[in-house]
Amino acid sequence: MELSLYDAVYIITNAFRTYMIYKLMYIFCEDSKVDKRWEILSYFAYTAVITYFYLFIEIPMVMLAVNVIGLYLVTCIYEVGIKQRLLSATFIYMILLCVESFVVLISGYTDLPIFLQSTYSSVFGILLISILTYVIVLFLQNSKNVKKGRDVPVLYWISIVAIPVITLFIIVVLFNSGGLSNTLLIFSISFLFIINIITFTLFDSLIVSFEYQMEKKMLMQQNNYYESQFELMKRISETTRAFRHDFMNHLTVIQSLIQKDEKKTLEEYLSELQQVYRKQKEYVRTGNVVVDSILNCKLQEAEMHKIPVTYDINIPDEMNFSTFDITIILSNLLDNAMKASLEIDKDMRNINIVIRVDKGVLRITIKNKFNGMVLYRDGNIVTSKKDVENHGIGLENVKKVVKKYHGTLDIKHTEDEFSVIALLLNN
Amino acid sequence: MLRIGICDDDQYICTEMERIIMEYRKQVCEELTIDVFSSGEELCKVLTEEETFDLLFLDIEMKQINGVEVGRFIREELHNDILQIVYISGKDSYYQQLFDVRPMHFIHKPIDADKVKKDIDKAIELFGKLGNTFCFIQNNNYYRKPIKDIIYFEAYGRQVKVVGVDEEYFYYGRIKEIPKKLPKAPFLFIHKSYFINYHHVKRFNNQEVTMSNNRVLPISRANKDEVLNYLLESEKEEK
Repeated sequence: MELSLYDAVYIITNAFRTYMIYKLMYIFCEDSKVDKRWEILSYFAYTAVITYFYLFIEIPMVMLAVNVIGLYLVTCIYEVGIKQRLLSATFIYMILLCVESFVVLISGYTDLPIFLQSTYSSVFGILLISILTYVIVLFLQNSKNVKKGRDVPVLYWISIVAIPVITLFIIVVLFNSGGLSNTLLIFSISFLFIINIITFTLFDSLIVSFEYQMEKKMLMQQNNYYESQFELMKRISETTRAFRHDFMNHLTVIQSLIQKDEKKTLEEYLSELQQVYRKQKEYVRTGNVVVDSILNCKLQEAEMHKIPVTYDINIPDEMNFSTFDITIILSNLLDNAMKASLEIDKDMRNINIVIRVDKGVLRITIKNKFNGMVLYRDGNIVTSKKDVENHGIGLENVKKVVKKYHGTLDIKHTEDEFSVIALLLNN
Repeated sequence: MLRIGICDDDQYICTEMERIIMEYRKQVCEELTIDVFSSGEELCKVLTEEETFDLLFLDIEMKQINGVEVGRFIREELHNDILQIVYISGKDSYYQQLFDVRPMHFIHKPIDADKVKKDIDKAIELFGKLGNTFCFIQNNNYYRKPIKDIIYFEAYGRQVKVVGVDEEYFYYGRIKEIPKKLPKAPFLFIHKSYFINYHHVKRFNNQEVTMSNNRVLPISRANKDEVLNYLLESEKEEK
């Protein structure tokens, strides 16, 4: 049997169609683990079976059944629930079917006997089907990306959508111009498809690189925290040294006063000393080195900015949460509370911190007074300050950590008080 | 009535605590009783022989039997999981073992009166919630169980299993109907077949909870959000 132009184009587009299915499948089953070899194998099998049925059976009703069953079998390689499987199989097929019927109808082919052999064979039609599917996949994928918080600049996105549209235009021109041999047509169309696929892949890696950039920013931020912690530890050790030095001096004075038997002066001196040391600020001491160092660092900062802080910390000295993650949560939340406090009058300022472990759950509550101005984007609180970019990353990091520990983050505010509760669970 | 126990081998702390509570007694509607013990042995003896308390202010660092051991004795020997323990500590760090006793709070020396008052408020509220009873009929016998003694309910075919601190009961009914009978009680569904007493939870994990009788029950995927919400609400009530 000799392949017609239609059949050849069909085989090419069918391969592309499978790729689209793969992409769609990822939108649904993204988080599940999968054996790559099995994945490739099953997609190949699926393409082969579909192509066979399409070329040799050609009965629409059979095609529908084969497609749905095939798609369902493909979903079986992903570790997702049966509901998710059925949903993805049907939804993906619905998308494909919608596009196909749409194209078949607009190309003027309305008489479609679904139980008989179909004679529909418009090269232009199947190409259009592929391109439309591609556009839809792009839309879906992009919305998925936006949902996950990785924003791709609109300009990139427009260019990526423009490519299939331009392809479509070129194909129409190619078909209308005439005078081209079938071989040339097949080559041109194949090349156009290759261009599309390449752009698609490029778009994917673009997203990856955006993620990478975000991660880099987060790492820089974390580095800053470690640096400031180090700074604090240095300062504490300096204070201790100064204290020891003073202590020796005081002892000498006391000794000399005793020798001189000046009881009155000695008493005065001692009460004065008591007052001095009582005034010295209390540090948080829970025995948990990480929490202590972050809190002390932030408390000192708060004091510098004249922000009163109250706290009640009930946690064990050792916890099953990583140092790194605790640092991310506490530093970010406290930074936000502090920045919000700076925007209001000195006598209004107040931050309240409660950290406790109860029933194996780490519960962090941070409340602060603020000016009541909150910026929302897509229902999420973004920031109340100008530094939109960095602030967003902070909360995003906190959310990631909370998710890692199967917990939840609750952000609420009244007219003048902002409160964040983070719950972290163990595995 | 809230029965408060104070246990510290430091006479000064005991007097100070008593003074704070006596003063606060005038301000609360609830009747407060106070018993003071100067050693862990004395307290353990009374707890074994006689009545128990609702709220216990317990010093961690005591000679002979220390606060951790007393706490463990209450939970593991006496199987009293509902007595609320507030640890009084002179040290800075709390060891992991302290958290196995599930203390309600920690108070630092020197004692901050406001914190003591807050803990009393919290205990009054808690025992208010736990003070109700749950009634059911098993084999023509009418039962009335205080809900503080119910660890959890389990759907058991057409029956409901009531797991109490002492024994288990069965009655014909649907687990879904229980919330209507126990409004405001500190119970939550962690699974469509398990309705548990929050105050009998030892530990929450991602997919399961360990109850005070050491039974491990599953958290269903569908109820995960409900569990997290319950935890959030309980945290918001903390003041």
